[in-house]
Amino acid sequence: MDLTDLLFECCRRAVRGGATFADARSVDSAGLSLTIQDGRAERLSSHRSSGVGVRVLFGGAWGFASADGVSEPAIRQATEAAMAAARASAPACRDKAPLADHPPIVAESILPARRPLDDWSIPQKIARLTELERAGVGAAEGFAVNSVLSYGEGRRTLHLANSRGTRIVQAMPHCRVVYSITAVVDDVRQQAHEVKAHLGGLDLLTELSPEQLSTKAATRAIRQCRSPTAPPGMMPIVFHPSITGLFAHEALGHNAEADGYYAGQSILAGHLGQPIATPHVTIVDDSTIAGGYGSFAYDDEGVVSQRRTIIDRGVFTTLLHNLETAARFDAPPNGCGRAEDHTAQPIVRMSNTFVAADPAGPSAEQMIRSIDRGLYLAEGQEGYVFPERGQFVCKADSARRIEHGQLGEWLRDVSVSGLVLETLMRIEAVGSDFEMAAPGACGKMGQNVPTDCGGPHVKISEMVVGGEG
Amino acid sequence: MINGLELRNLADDAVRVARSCGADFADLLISWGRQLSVSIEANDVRLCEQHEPCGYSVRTFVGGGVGSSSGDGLPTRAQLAEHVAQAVSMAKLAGRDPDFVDLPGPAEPLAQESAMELFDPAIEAVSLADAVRLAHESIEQAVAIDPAVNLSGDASFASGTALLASSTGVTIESAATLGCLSLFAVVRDGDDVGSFADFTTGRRWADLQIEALAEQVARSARRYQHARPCPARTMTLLLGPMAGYALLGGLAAAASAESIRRKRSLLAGRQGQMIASAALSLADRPLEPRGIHSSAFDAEGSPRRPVVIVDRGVFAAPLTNHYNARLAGVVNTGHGTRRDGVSPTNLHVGLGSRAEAELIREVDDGVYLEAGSLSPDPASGDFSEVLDFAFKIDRGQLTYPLAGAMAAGNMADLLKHIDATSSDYRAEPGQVLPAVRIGQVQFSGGG
Repeated sequence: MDLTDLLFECCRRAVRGGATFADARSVDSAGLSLTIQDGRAERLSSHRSSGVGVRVLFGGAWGFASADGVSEPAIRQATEAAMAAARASAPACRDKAPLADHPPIVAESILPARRPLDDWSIPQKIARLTELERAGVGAAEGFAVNSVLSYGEGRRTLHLANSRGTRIVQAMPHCRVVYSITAVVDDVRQQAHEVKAHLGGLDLLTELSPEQLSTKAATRAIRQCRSPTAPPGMMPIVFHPSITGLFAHEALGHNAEADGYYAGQSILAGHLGQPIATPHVTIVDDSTIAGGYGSFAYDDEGVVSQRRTIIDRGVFTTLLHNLETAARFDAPPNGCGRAEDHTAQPIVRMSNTFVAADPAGPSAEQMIRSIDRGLYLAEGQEGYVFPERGQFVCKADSARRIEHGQLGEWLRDVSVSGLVLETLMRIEAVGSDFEMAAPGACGKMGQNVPTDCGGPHVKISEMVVGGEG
Repeated sequence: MINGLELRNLADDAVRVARSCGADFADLLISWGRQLSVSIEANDVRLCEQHEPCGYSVRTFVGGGVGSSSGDGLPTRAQLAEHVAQAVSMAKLAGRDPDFVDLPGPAEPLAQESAMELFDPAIEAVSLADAVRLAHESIEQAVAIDPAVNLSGDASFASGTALLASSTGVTIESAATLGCLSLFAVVRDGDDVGSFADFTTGRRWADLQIEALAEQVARSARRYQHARPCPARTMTLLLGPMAGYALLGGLAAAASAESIRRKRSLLAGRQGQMIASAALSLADRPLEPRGIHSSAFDAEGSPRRPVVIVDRGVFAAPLTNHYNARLAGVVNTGHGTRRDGVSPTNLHVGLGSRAEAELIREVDDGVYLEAGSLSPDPASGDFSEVLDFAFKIDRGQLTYPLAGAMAAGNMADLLKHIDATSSDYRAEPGQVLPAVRIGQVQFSGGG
């Protein structure tokens, strides 16, 4: 009996025990991490993580359990523990969980790598990474005090079965390079980071140039040392695509997750079907983008990957669903049930989220020319949102002053904040360019999953700038 | 059933295999335990889950280069030998480090873990039914305070054991428990939303402040309705205990001897210098009984020691691991992690002479940040942050909650402008966290 059959059998056993639904996942992650610091390959590590997670719906209540390691006894033990958990919660659970109809899927999806991860030996990888790391220090004009390049590669293999007959095997390689440099100029210390990541093989590393990674970060670190801080206050803003992506993910995406929406924790509650943004704005979450860091063939509930248009020309059209929320909203499941690993249950998540380019939209230069005094935000770093209040923040690694329609001096890292509904209505222009620019990990309810985000340049009529100068 | 003696033999074997493969030094960490949790969503019990995590990680050193390998589940001897061989082969590919001398050897702890009360059978014995009951009671308490409240959160309980063995003769087994109830309350009148989150956590059941939590978050959420924009000007900032923890936790992390040696800390080159006003003293106390971050040894097996990081404004001492302490020729404080890093433990912030309420009364024009992530960049000290849960202070009173308020500046200026800490404090197990008042902070927010 193969692993998927074993998982399917445990789901059937749960149903025989009274569960109305069960699914079981085995997740195997194996990978390699290399760290080059200040010219030396300091730390090399490998990891292998595998285990099973079993989820059951019993009396309208969920129970979930996991066990590390994959074996028939481990799967059986996790199933029994999940049943015990559901039985414990059922008497206290008033709002019984429904589940959307979804046909059983039997599929195998092995994502091929254009260049396999083992195409280079570890010494070859170290040599290439050291070359990239040294290029960063070389570009730092003697001001670098610390330089760290971290490389990670791996393969995640999912075996999924559910009591409806779904049996899926999905394997995906992934690769990530992170560079971080600290520079000190005239006693001013600044750090800059650059991240490249994709769902795929070694081609990310073999085709990566220092200009795309380390020398770019080094140049920025030195520039930041010599730059003043941003001014505070309300002003017009132009977003670089990486900030547009952060905005789409934080401000809109999290609020469109149907679990939070149903639980009364989204500022968009009650706005579905209504215009909530200016007509230039279309926002999409798409897990089918080839090589996208947030892409997959099937989600962790066995729903096929798809493109979801959350805002269509200003109108809020679609929520992101897993099987449960799709049933609650009488909507088709749209493949957003994702879990970090076998120890986590699938919850509603984003994948690759972006503002769609407006083919008739202005260029970045045209947006800047239309502003007398404002800020151009470059190099998106991170952000977060309180969905229930709709208050979000986006942090940029660097910025430039806009004065009389011209880009002015560079400024240090700065954050902007806003309220979701106000800001969506303040989007004055959406550019015709496009870039997916921020591969990373999105955190929610203690789980991190890979995501990416991006879009075109975007102009906002007014936002709060957390500046000082 | 996991047999401690068998595991110790397994660990000893692994270390021997590493040496025979050519490692100069090696250590192995095996951990196992049990976790259960109950999630609350929209005033309802949402999900019960239980896990039995088990994992291992082996580190090997060849000429100071590190190779490591980790896996899940309880390994067999053969599996472990495979991981060890893999780790050694990678250590041989790593660059040599002439400064690396050895791993820590066996040493007496400054306090016995058995006396630190880090394991509570009452937490270990919590059942799924107990956790569900706790979640249910929290919902009832919150709704009793405010029938319109929307409560979410979770109750979680964990017990675990870790075994560390090294080629230098270290064998340490430690067990601990942890309980946590975290709640998030939302109240809504149309688009006017108020919310608040808080938690209680402890090694022991008796340290969990369960009864007060649901009531407190329900009341606090209502206080954050009718929020208004923040005026853009320089004002006084009063950090509540958890907001102060975010700031000073960042300062403690910047006191890492590893970050300082690498010159990527804002405290690099500042030891012995005045880095804050004399109103600030900050200590790291890893041996506090029942402390959330307490343990007798660090992750490499070095005995932990308390450290005064900031003494009346002066950066007195960094936190070290075995490697950095040896390199600097100082006594190791025992703050090492397994990734060659350094990490703080329980924070004790020096107390002032007046209560938090008095510090508020003395502010004519300011902002009170009850909770939020005011976390400056650890290298530059720069910050540009939104103030998540903040109130305007006018003429000594909290007047209205703020929406979208932002603050910006540099950690060095914040520290210099601390003019008081409060005499009362939030006593998280093992930690002392007073309010911290800071003058002359730049705010913006469209008000």
